[in-house]
Amino acid sequence: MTATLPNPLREGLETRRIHDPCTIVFFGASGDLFKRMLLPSIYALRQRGTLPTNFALVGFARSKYDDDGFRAYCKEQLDQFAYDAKPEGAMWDDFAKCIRYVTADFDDTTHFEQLKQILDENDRDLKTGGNRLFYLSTPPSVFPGIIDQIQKAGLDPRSNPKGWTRIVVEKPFGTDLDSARALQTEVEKVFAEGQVYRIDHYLGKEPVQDIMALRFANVIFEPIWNRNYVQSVQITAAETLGVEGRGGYYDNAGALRDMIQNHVMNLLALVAMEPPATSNADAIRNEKFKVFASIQPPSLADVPKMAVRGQYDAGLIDGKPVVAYRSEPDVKPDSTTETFAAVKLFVDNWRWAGVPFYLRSGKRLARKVSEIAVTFKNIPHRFYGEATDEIDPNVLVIKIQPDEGVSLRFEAKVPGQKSHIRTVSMDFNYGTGFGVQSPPAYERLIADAMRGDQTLFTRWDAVQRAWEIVAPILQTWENATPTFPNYGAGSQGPHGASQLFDAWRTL
Amino acid sequence: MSSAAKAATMTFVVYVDDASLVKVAQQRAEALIEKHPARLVMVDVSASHATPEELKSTTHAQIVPDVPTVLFWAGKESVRDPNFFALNELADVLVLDSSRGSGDIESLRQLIDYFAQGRRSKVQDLAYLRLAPWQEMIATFFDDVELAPDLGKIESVEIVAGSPAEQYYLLGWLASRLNWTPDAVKHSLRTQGKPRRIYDVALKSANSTYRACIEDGNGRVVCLNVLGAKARAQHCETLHDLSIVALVEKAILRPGTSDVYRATLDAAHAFLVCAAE
Repeated sequence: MTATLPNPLREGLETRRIHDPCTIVFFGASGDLFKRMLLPSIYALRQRGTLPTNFALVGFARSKYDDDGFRAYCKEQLDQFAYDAKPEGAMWDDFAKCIRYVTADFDDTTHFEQLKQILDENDRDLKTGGNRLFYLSTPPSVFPGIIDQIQKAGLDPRSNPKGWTRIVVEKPFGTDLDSARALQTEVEKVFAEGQVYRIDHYLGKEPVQDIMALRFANVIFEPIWNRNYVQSVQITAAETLGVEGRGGYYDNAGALRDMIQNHVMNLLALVAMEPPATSNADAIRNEKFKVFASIQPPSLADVPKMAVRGQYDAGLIDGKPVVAYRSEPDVKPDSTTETFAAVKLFVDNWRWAGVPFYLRSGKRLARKVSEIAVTFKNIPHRFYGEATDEIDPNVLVIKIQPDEGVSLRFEAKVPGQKSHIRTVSMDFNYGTGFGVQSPPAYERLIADAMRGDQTLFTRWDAVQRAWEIVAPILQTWENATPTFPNYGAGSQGPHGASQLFDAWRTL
Repeated sequence: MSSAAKAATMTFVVYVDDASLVKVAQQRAEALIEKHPARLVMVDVSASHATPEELKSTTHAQIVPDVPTVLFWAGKESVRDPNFFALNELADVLVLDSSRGSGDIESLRQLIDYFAQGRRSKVQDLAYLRLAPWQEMIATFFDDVELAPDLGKIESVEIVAGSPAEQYYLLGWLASRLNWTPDAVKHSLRTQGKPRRIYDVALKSANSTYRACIEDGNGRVVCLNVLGAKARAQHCETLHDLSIVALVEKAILRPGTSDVYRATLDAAHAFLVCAAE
């Protein structure tokens, strides 16, 4: 670890620079995630002056490049995908000097030894201080092999006492409870929990972080944020897109594994958790885990009453015809994978007892929308007589995408002598409110991992508990053949969803 | 309540006394309030004969209660203008630019006088905020543990900038952090290029030179070089957030006048006095 001498010039500076020097190694650096999201995020961090001065990037993947070839590849991708400044001039030349590459077979220890040699050279030549961040952006099936090779090549934290070693693991962390536990066993052979950054990019989105600000930086919501005032909570992550070339992956996953178990459950935790004592990572993650611990997994017998699945048929999206899921590339023609899942859960604690949380996620639905809708109870007294019958409950909607913001639905009297009550919506939109676009989630998450801040990363106990909660649903669904397809592309989802809950917000 | 209700984070009062500046000041203010929703109050006295008290009263009537009032002072004079004190009484934050206008050092001197009078302290000077990326880059040299000891051995400093307020602020900042007095360190301040821009900063010890200078024609990339006994590979950074709108935004998001700023101003004052002698 680099020793920190007091630098008197630092006093009072509002720096965003990450202090520790480091090398970041991207396993799977020739893949789609790297070129579209990770590399542009790193370059944006460099442009903003956030990366440490002594920084290096190493790509590690099967595609054949030498260092210069990989630099040229990175420049080409940044020309296409950089969202801040394009790679040019002295800035790019400076950045390119820090890029190295290993053409690798993930099963070959010699390639990991070659990586170790490069990391040692970086420590010597680029003063990266022995600090290493390994980023697994490969298919999950090779995670255990890479972790094993990291240890065999002496790249594990125990073999690197002079600096820190951390690992970022892309989701999904396992495909069910057993596989997640098996992966965790491999991970913890090499890395301690404080060195593991399980990434769920949803948690890096600005509006998701705003949930905590809305709840804990305002006093007006907290007194009514409980079973006494809240009727139900709906969490929706709906897409109009299909599988978009990811048919092979998705057909082995499905909506429950791909979205509900991680993204949507994490949103539930942020909505339902108690105020943490501090903003420290563990204080927040402790509270999130307590929420999951308070959710009882449904019994196998209850699953049909608590969960609904669906798969899209052909239909229209934005007026254009789209094919059925089973006709998508790399999808089995008789696939029983769900492209829609809706689940009803209860958080059995003092605050939320009896309040249903409805979670739904699906592809090829009528509208792209991610939001959390907190529906409050009806008014207790019909002050306006018959007009009261038309009064809708108040709804606070936290909008995550595509419009990031908050809206509150409430009732107002229509001007005039009669007592007509109308529902109005008061909207706050982060884009027009603050006039800025939120930085992409990966930028924040990569920077946090380099800083050693685990707040926005998922801890193993929470991952495990989330798998425990959905395990009975997965088991029940695997043991019964569904009648698929059961909803049209561009619709609100399968009919069964409205039997689970008859007041879903319209997509 | 309309469905398009907009949030308000402040009342933003812009004071202008030059008719030729009204339009550009309004455009910049509107750009700012797109990002930080606010009620904009333009106070244009270029064709007005209102007394300071009348001006204060009219402005006060337009202020949104419960949110801060930010006064952006774009007048030719500051403490010598009676309107300055009248409007300043309404403001929670005063934003001005010592480098505005002619670009001489007079505005900075007036600001030093203002503080010397023990006035309210929530002042943000854009000329000082403009230094931020340079402060960050100069500090970066000495984050390197092998180079950090050199910080106490700096013998001379050279600053090339387009206007003197930035030169004295940067010199004052270094002096305040490193306990320099005007006669203890050689200093060379050269005015060159566009006003309100810094071009080159060099710190020299007996064995090393630490130099940060603009590298490209657009003035957006600065390259850092350590030459001499402990030479390092060149490192380049992008200069960000130097537009007036970005600087004003920075000013309104700051909690107040920092101790570092006050110390910088005191040190800059000492160098100014020395230069005048």
